[in-house]
Amino acid sequence: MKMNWFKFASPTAFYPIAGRLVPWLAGAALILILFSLYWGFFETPERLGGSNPQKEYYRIIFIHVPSAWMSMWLYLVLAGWAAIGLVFNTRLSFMMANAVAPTGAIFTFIALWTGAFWGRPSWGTYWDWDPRLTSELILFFLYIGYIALHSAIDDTRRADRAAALLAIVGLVMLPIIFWSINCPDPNQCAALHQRSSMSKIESNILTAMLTMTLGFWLYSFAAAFTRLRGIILTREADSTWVRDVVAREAAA
Amino acid sequence: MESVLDFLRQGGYAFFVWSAFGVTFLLLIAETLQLRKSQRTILSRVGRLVRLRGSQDAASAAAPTHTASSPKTPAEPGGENR
Repeated sequence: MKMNWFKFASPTAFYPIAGRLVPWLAGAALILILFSLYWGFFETPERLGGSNPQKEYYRIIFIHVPSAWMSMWLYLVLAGWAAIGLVFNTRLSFMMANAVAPTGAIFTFIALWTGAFWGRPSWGTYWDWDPRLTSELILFFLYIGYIALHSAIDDTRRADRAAALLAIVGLVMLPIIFWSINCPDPNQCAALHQRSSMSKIESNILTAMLTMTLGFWLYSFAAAFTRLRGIILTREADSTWVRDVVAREAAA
Repeated sequence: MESVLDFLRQGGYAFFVWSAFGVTFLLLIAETLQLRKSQRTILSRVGRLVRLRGSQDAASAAAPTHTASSPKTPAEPGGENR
């Protein structure tokens, strides 16, 4: 069977698809996030037992861990689209990378911010130059650098390629962030940040955490697609199909 | 009432819990509102551009000698194409 893999790679084809998907994605994200908040605050124990006892402040886990996951995942998506754009020279790939970056930066900031407010009651400090915290901060700077570099170059095609290269080089941070708490020898791991121990976690806490992750993930889709539609319209403003779309949306 | 206050107190860790949750959802809501606003701005700007070009085409069809040398529509300001 022969398939046209690039059928949806054209902005013309993707613009209406994204437009139809966004309300569903946003609605599902809202439901999942509200469910997770309910479950996290009312169906979970008030104390975290086990080897790392914590009081009510442990509930920050419901936004801290999902947003930290999203910060890394969205960077992978950003760099992936950037690489595809460089290899195949497809317009939409670069636009996708552009659309993901601000949402990724926001989740990285949220991971750092919530981590600070979790660190203060549990470690006694908002910030420490612990390997996990430091590498996540560098990830935040990479997002900011990508956005800044792209907007500093007037020629869009050159901006796309330069920023894509930065994004790909920045990929080196992802394994560093991951291994900073998952290294084989615990003595060489991050000193402060807890190791991830997904298997030992209480099931209600896990439920709230995973629902929030799914909610954030769908939210990211909705936000990126909305931004993507704006980027498509701006960049393709010269084409006739945009003329038709604008006429139709003005009539609606 | 008592249970609501208890909930808000979060066992004495209200400041940390609500600072974390508050800023998180403030940022997500702010991003949503910003996206909605920029979508409207882009639509109206592109719409204006399209109308401008339409009237230019009509004008050049009517009097080709006058508008043939006129510059194209002004370039988009930098940075807005993200």
